This record gives sequence, structure tokens and C-alpha cells, in this order.
Amino acid sequence: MYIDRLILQNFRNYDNLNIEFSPGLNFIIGENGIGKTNILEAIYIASNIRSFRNIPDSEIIRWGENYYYCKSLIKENEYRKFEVGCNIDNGNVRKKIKIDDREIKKASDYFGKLLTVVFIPVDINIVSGSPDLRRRFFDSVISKIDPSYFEVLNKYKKILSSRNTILKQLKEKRSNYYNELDIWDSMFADSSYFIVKKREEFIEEFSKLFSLSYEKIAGTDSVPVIEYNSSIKSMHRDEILSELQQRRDKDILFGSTGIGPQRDDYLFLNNKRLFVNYASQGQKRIAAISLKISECDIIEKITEKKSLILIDDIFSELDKNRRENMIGLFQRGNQVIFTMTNSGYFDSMNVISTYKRFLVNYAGITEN
Amino acid sequence: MSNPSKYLDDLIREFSKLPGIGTKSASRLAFHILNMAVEDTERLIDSIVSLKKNIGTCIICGGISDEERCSICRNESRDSGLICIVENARDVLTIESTGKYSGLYHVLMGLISPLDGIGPEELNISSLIKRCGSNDVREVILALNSTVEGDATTLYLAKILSNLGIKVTRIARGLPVGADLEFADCATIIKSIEGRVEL
Repeated sequence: MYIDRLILQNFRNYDNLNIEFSPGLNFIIGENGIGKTNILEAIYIASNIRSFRNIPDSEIIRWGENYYYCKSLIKENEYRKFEVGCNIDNGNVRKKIKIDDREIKKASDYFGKLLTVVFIPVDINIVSGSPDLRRRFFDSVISKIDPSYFEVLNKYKKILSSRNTILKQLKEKRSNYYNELDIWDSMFADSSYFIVKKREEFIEEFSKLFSLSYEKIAGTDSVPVIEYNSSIKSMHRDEILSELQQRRDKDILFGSTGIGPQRDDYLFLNNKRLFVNYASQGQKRIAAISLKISECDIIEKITEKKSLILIDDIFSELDKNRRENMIGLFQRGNQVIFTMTNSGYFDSMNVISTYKRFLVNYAGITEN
Repeated sequence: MSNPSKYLDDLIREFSKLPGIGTKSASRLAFHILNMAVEDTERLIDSIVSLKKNIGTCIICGGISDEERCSICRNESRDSGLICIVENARDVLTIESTGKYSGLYHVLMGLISPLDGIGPEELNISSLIKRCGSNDVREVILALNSTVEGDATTLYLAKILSNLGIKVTRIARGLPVGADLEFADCATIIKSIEGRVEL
């Protein structure tokens, strides 16, 4: 699938924007702070409802306005028109999402219909940051290829906070909630069994693809693998339940649940050594890029659809050779939209696909 | 914004507190009332006031009632061995509108939701247990929403009611009647397949 046209109103610095992309490669070139990334952000929102910058919608609305609107017209896909509108009224944010003119009420019905993979400089934190960032990344990838995972994950989050609330009440001995705790234990065991099993199956497949693309970029370097690390790995539903009941006193003491998917991590290992402990900044960058390339690979493998690839300025960190390697890697039949600050990068690339070039400055965006 | 009349302002403000009514609808309603005959407005006010004064909750099922016991609980032709458990009094009206259910009801007045500070003690459960213990109740149907709170409440009630030796059932989950399979979400389809019936 590819995006044919993007139409924006009051989105960040754009009051009105209407651009037509090439189905091949697209290069958006301009100085820092001119609004290149905003274009990628708009396409990402059309696909994921939320921004990759992790900020409230009210900040995306153009200064002084009270709404934004974003429409993406997609080709070679089952669904053609994706619209996200957001309106702020007396501090209340209201968002309306539509696919092919039909309003969508549940996020799980929206996910996975417009597939995008985004490469941003902060991706490196997935490799070297806290476990929470890795869980979030892998959760989003699994949700794209399996909407039932997304649905169970949302339920599970609510079950976990309900259970934790009961634990805190028991700790303060406010009431006798033991009967009720049994119910949440049972629901927790059901949903976490489902999640952990999906994660295990997923990572086994994903790790192979990851190692493969790491090898392609880094060449001779020793290649890391990803291992899924869970407190309830390979446990059956009833084993999780009895584990929960065994550690009940401890959980009450801490007022929180000590085992489960919320404590999981994904480890990057090389001969049992932790990758982050010895890897250089460059190696971490390669690992981050490999994660995203494997995301494209696994989506293609399972859904048989080509994702739209969005690449935000990851070139400035790489030397000329690596840059050329990367461009080669991305000419794989997907539509790719790059942003870059320096048109010199573009001139030095060996582009074989059809492409379009856009220049962004204070006057707006022009094709050239 | 200032309206020419303080009385109009007051009524619009009161109307816009109602669910589903914004300022625009509220002002349309207020203007409509302004143009109504005095006796019509009095009838309207009377019906609102007598609703508030006369309706209470049924001491047996917890549903709405004009008397101590509601018309459903008083009706002797209904099957008193069958109780359908619902979240609120409106659900009773929804099920009654089908005309196909002949048992009695029990209204919980909420669902277990620790995040909202609602536990079993806050719900109309103790009277349910009393009902199930003393009467000739054969079967209890749990007709609660398919949400995390609904599921938790269903599990909780199933556990205590089956301890009393009563048959506990839950309403079926799956495709709505007349729905297109193509437009159903994954979870609904999975539930439909799990809950298939032999023909």
C-alpha cells in the first residue's frame, strides 16, 4: 500500500496542505524546525491515531485554532480513505476517526488497516532505555498483526489496575476483599497467559529476522539475538493462578502485582552477554534500525501487505557508506518517505526507484 | 454572551445539565416551552414532579416501582424459579420490551469496579442471596455487559450462587442478529465460534 495524497488543515505549522506523493521514494528536504517531521507525524496519526511524539492532541492543533484535520488517501489497499479530526472545545478534546467515510468507535477496529513503520532518532532508546519502552514497541508491533492481542492487552491493563487497587485496600485492611481478589486473580491469569504466549511465539520469529537485518547492515560484526524474559514464561494458565495465590501475602505487602506481563523484558544478547553493556553508540543505532526493518519484514510476512515506511532524519548520524547501504536496504518495493536537512545527502545517494523531492521552507512546501 | 431574560437563561442552564443536551438543544427546548400554553407546561411540570415523588425501588428486585413491590414481582403468572440479573433498572425495560422473558429480575445497581471504588458491598447483592436462599429459585441468568467490570461481576456472582446449589447461566455472546459477518470485529467472531450451537 502507499499514500497517494495527504491533506492537512490546522495541523502543527500547516494551515492548509495538500501533497501528492510518489509510490516509490519521497525526500522531504528543509532546515531544522521548518515542519518536515510534522508531515510524517500526520501520516503516522492517520495510521495509529496517536502521535509518535507522545504528546496530547491539543498540542498538534495549529496555534490559535481549535481543531485539526488530517486525511490520507491510500492506494493498493483494501481501505482507501483515512480521516482523523480533532476538536478542542472548552478544554475538552474530541477526536473523530473515519475509514472510507464510516466512523470508527473502537481503536481495535482501526489498528492494522493502514500499516506504517516509523524510523525516528529516539528509536535508540528502545535498545538502551527502560524495559517499558521495549514492551511498548513490541506490543505495538504485535497489535498491528493481531488485533485480538490489542484487545486482550487493553482488558489486561484494566484487570491489573483493578487487582492492584484491591491489594492496596487489603493492605490498609479497609475491608475483607479476599473473595473479590479471587475473581481478579482468575481474570489476571486468563489474560496474562494469552499475552505471554503471544509474546513468546512472536519473539521467536522476530529474533531471526532481527539478526538477519543486523548482519546485513553491520557486516562482520557479531550479531545479537533477542530473548523474551518473563516471570511467568512457559507457565500454563492454572500455574499462573497458583503462583499468584502463593505470593498473595507479598503482593498485598507491596500493594502491587509482582509477576506478569507488566514486568517482562526483551533482552538483546550476544553469547549470553548483554548487548547494551558493550555495544557502541553506532552498534546501538544499527540495532534500532534493524528492529524497525524487522518490523516491516514481519508485517509483510504475516499480513502479505507492504507497510509505508517513514524515516525521520536518521542520516545525519551515519557516514557516507552506511547511508548508501541504508538507501539500498529501503529500495525493497515499499513506499518510503524520508526527511533530511541537507540536500547534499540526497545528491550522494544512488536512487534507482521512482522518486519525488520536496523542498520545505518558510513559504511552504514545493515539489522539485 | 448575555440573553435578554434571566428566566430563559436559568431554564437553558438547567436543560443543558441533562444527558445528551447541549446549549443549542437546551435553548431550542426553552423557546419551545416559552411558546407552550400555560396548562401544557403545568402538565409537564406535574409529570416530572410526580415521577420524582412516586417512583421508588422495589424491595424485592431493586428495580423501579410505583409501590413497595414492582408490577413484575407482584405478577403471579411469572416464573418465580427464574431470575435474570441485570446491571440497572433500564436493562429491565430493554428485556421486557421483547415480551419473551417470563421470569423475574434482580437489579444490581452497578458493577464491581475497584477503579471506581465499587465493590460487592456497594451493590444490591445481599438481597439477591437472601432471595436465592429462601425461594424456589432454580436458575439464575447473568445478563451483564461484556466488559472487564461485567465479567468480574459475572464471575463473582457465579461463584457465590453456585455455592448455593443453583444453576447459573450467562446470556450468549456473539454476532448481533441481522449483522454482517464481514463487519464484525475479531473478538465477536471468536466468541460466536466458541458459543456455536448444534442444529
